[in-house]
Amino acid sequence: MGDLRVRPSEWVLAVVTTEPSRVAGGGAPVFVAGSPQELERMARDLCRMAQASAHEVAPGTLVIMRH
Amino acid sequence: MALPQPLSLPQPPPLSDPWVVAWSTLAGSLARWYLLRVDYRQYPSYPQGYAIHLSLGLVAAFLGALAVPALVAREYAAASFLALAATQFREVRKIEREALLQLEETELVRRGSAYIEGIARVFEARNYVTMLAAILSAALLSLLRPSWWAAGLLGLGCAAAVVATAGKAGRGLRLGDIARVRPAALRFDGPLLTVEGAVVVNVGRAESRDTFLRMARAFVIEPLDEAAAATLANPGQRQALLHDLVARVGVRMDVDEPEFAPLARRRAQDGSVVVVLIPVLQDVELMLDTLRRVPVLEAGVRVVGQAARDGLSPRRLQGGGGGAG
Repeated sequence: MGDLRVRPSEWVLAVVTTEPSRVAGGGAPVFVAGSPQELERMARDLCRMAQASAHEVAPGTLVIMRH
Repeated sequence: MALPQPLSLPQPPPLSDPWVVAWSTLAGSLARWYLLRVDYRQYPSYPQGYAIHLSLGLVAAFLGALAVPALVAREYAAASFLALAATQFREVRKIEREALLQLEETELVRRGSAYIEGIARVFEARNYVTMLAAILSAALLSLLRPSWWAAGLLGLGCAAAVVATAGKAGRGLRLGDIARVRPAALRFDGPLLTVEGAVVVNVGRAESRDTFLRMARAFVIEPLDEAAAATLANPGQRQALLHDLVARVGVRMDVDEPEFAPLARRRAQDGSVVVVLIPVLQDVELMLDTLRRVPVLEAGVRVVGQAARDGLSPRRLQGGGGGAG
């Protein structure tokens, strides 16, 4: 929290997307949302649970990362 | 036939050593008390903290005061107690450092080790200042042997002079001395939070972006020269300024909302630093004032540009969190 540097061991905790075709492989679990509203809600809940923040890599795809 | 005795008042005895020590100890202790009072870091703020530092100050003052009469009496062994005191005060620094490092875990926005080291050093240095005030006072009193009440005034004068000198020399630079601080507007470029073209962070959720737009404040810190830009590049320095800012105006984030963590990002083009935070207290003037008063950390000081070319050690330019000792 407030740290300026990212700790590499805790990078991507999860991926949330409305377009599963654009996400492939990788070590993090992928959650597929049915609508932008659900995407928003899932991202919020995951962030709260994991004490992490959501970043948008492409429209409709968010990565949940801890810094 | 008895000669008439000249009328004479009884001469007061010259100031004895115990009084020299007593007055000087008092002078030193008052110096420590004053230094405690002018502390701006909101630390220590509890009676326990005051008790610890005042007691150590008393010990420092006593050792300093004792050293001079000991030397005058050619008790050189007694003066070696000063070395003991130095060890003791290094211990003070260690205690401060460890205490603050322990507390880091409980801070929403951390001080950072660079800031902690700076604070710990200040606490150690204050004990030396206390001792110096006592030594100076004891030396003067031993030399002049003034009357009882003049001794008190002289001791106080010594303490005041030492504190004033040390205060002036020890204040160090503030951010306001090396940079211009001004408020700025923030906007979103897609998911990217930007301030005057500098990308600060990628905010993924629309709701969070809305929170930023409604409540966040942004500031730009523009360095006045190359050395200042290098100082602002130091992550420890930026962490310290975020901590000070949050200590004054609060922060909206909670432990499970790292998205709203205050950030200080560097703009590569000109080396200026962009600060974004969501304060509890929406007082822009207070935030500007706080930023200007952030101490420039010793670890963040760099010698670059002309000063470096003029022959200062290039070693100081290298390495991350540098700083001596």
